[in-house]
Amino acid sequence: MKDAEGFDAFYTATNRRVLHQMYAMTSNLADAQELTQEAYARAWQRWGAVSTYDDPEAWVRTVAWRLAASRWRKAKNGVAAMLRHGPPEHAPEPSIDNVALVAALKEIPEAQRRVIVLHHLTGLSVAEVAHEVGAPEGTVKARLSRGRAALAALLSDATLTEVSRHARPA
Amino acid sequence: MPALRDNDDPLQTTLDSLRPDVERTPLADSPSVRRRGEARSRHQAVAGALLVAALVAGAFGVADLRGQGRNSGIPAHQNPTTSTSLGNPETLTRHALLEPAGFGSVGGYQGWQANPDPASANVRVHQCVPVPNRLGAQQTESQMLYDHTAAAHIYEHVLRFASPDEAARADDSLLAVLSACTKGGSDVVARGLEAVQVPDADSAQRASRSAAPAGSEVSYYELAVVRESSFLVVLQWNSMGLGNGIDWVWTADLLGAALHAAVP
Repeated sequence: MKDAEGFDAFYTATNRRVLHQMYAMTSNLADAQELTQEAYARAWQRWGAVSTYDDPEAWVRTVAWRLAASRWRKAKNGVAAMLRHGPPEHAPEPSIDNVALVAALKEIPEAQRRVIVLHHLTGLSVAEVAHEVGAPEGTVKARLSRGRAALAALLSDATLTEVSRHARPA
Repeated sequence: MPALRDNDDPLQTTLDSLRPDVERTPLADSPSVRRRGEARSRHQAVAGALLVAALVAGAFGVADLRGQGRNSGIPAHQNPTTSTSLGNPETLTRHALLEPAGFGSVGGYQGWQANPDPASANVRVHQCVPVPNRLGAQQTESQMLYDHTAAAHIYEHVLRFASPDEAARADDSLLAVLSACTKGGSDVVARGLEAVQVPDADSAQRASRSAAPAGSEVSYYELAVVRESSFLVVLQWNSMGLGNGIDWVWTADLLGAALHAAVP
């Protein structure tokens, strides 16, 4: 018998955080919403095992990311899903304040976006990011550096000018 | 545990500014998410049952063909089992299979665990590729591994044949079957056969198939076969897509490690 109360508490405590991370990783609020809910549904399927992990939230985040990556590849493979299905109905849109940031995030490569979110938003160390993405620490540092530099170039406001100064390996 | 963050980090502040969008985005309540997970489990159970039925039907079909004296070109094992030995003095090593920890991060997937049920490896992973344990080897070892998200699976089979010629025939037939396979629809993207340089191997080749059927996730399958003398190592991979920047799962290093683990 799975522990529904434990899952409910976990879901309530973490779902907004995962949604936030997926929003930054995918630059799409509707996708983030769907991926987050699907990842938690999968966590419930395996809750007996997932609940024993040191960091079940990392498991959910990884599954949500894989689902996102799978969708991107599918789009790249030429399956014109959007042409068939059209955009999702009632898809939440970014607020006017965040349009530029969301557009900039969308411009940088997926792998750079992911490590930036894990390091700067989730607060993982470089070593923890390397573990989660399955890449060497040197690769993570390079992605962080390039990603920050790219974001700084895309966002010209004063705050992000600071980012370029921080655009060095963490 | 997350590391402490730098409060002066402007990028963190910028990413935090997405929070108002997040706060106003509705998420399903927890019971609805659990129901979604349970519905998914039911669908998977039905799909699994259909797959088993198809495999059983396929097995009867193969038996029927054999009864009619037709030859598929693939040697058939009379009594397929997970691990058998016919007493040939030349045997597989004691630990012929790769350790799960040895795979590390493969194709972006990690945290590998072995399925404790040895029969879990004896399934048809690709609809055109036969179960390697049924290729007529004298001795076989096999395992199925899955990553910590259970989204990727590895099937490893180590086979010892009666002679190098038999191993070579099984190798050729296995790869030829995949090369000739046209199943899966028009959206299947095929790569290989591609030769891989593996030290000490007489032959090492790999091929892949990926597909993105409408309404489904991207599936990725990769087959590699390494042969040395009368030994054959068959590695199969099955997952939702692949990690960023990954070209081939079965690299020369992994194939070399698998071969050296298997051959005395």
